[in-house]
Amino acid sequence: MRQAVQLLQEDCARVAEHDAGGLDALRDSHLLVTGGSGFMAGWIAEMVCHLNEHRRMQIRLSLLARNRTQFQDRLPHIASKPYVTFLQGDVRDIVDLPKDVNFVLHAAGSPDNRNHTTNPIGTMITIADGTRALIQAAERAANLRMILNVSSGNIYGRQPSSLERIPENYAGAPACGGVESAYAEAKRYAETLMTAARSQSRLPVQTVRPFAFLGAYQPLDAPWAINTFLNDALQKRPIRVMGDGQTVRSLLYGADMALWVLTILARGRTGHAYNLGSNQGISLESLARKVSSHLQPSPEVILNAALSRNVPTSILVPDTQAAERDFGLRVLTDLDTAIQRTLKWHQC
Amino acid sequence: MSKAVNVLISDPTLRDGNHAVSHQLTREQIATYCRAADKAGIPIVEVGHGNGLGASSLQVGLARTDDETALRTARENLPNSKLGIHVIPGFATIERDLKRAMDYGVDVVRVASHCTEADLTERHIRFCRANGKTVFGVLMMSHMIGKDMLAEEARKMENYGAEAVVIMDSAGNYLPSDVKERIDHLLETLSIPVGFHAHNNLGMAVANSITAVEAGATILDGSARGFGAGAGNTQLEVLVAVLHRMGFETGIDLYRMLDAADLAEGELLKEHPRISSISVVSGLAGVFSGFSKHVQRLAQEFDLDPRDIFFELGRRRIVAGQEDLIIEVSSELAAQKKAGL
Repeated sequence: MRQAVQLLQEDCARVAEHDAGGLDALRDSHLLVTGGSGFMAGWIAEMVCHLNEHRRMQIRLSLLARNRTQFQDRLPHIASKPYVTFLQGDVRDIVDLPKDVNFVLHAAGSPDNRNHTTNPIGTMITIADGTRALIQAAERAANLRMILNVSSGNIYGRQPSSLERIPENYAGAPACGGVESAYAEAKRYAETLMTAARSQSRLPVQTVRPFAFLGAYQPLDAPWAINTFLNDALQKRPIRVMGDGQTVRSLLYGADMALWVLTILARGRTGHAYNLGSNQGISLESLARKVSSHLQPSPEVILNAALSRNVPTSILVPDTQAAERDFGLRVLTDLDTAIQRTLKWHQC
Repeated sequence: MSKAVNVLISDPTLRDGNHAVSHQLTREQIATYCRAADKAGIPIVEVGHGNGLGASSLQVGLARTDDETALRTARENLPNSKLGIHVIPGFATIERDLKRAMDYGVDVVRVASHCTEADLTERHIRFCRANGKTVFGVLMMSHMIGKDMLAEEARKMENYGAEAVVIMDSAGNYLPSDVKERIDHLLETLSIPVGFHAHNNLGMAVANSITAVEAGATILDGSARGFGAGAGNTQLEVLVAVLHRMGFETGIDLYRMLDAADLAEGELLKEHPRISSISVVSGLAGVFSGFSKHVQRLAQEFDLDPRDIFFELGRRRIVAGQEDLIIEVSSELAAQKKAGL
């Protein structure tokens, strides 16, 4: 455990070195994170630990989540910090925010498409009602400086093959007829609801639209290709790629993600939306081969191409020029390092 | 250098065929057929109770050979072919059945549900994926819903992690146009391969399988001599011959496939699958072929025309796993008959 914590703290230190004072607005502030036991919250907590313990930022962190046991199991070293408070509860039931809260990261809502598929109604209601409850509570929070609403890269719908990267002003949308659109459509609704709150109640709100990530705190049975590849590799079995491997995705390492989120939260202007992810696309076949190359002996990579017919190549890569232009944010952990660090964390 | 396989054959002779002998296949029969199937180069050989792993019970039939023996025997005799199992959540649990099956060396897990209940397969599919097994989603009785709902259910299985989706014509009800319509739509909707499993109630099993493959399906099920529930499945040796004639590559040696089919006829089949009058009615009524034996027994017991029972079961849209309802339906029909209704 100690080794795993140290690894994440090294990552946070390496990445935070690139901050040129953008995070200073968070000094002596109180940050509330909804979805407090998830992947994003885990990395935010790691980064806050680093900032407090190495830059004396004195950030107070409250993590709101339904499951205290899950939080304590996943983040025992965070749970024991004096500046961290765990708030057990459902975001849908939130009435008041802690009085001195300055920043809110609204990250509640599982992005696991298997859950959305099985329970699309529950998915939509949780996102919609959770966002509504948060807005109503935020309207009464006297010290609130900014809410960062975590939306989804899925709100753009299918990325056209003619578009190398999706910019924030792309006007695509999920197909209403698809069962998996429940999550994306609910996230679109939540964005619009936040926009309405900004207009009607003058709430300071901005949005990030996450794409794909890798790193600690993502379970190996999570439904994204990278986790399957890592799991296969760690189990010393062939890495199996579904389809012909030409699907293109991009991956941002958890530590980079945490720096981006905190920077946007600290420095962003109300009403803006930013893509959150890597702008460096990679085919799933290449990704599988990269994962394989980090282990000895290297596991075989098997494509399931012969039986797939006429499957259009799917691309999902964000354009991140806005984040780079406004905050100087860019990918700091290259993919090889990210894979290596993630494998190492799982092996700890 | 061998040509790449472009139609994957999965052989349920030792699983669907178990329906035809009331789940009484023996260890020796399993070993004998597996050796022949392996020699023929059949890519996937399914083994187990007709209703799949963990299904042996008084309600749907006690298997003569328990799952462990069946799987161990098959594994020992399939050095090259992949060992497949049929898994219906509810019959098969993860802890009791799936984990053990993996310990016995299962390669391919086909997680099945009624065509409207793909939600039930999530945990089983997730478990198989996390454990590095090839996992297909299977939608049974697929004729009972239209192409849109079928694609929606298949999409769920894809989202759960299924590497392919196979639709089953469990009642042998389809005509080629039905198959084409569904396979076309599945391929438009999914990004994973699609498969087809036929039954021969209306004599359409090979034709429907070929229609499926022409429409773009790349996984086909077939049993030696059609050994399967009701009127039987697609007759595998015929299917392979036709596919080869059409230029598809299955990786199967036809002569050895024919030998395996001859062996199956001699060693496994008490009676050759045939399209009986009851099978025709079951196909028309859209009722699961595996119900034939239950229906015939109850028709005799209640002095009813089995055809009337089948059509009533079809009207009530009963599905596999609801075997107890056949008694209820038969009893009600008998009461009506007695009352002169």
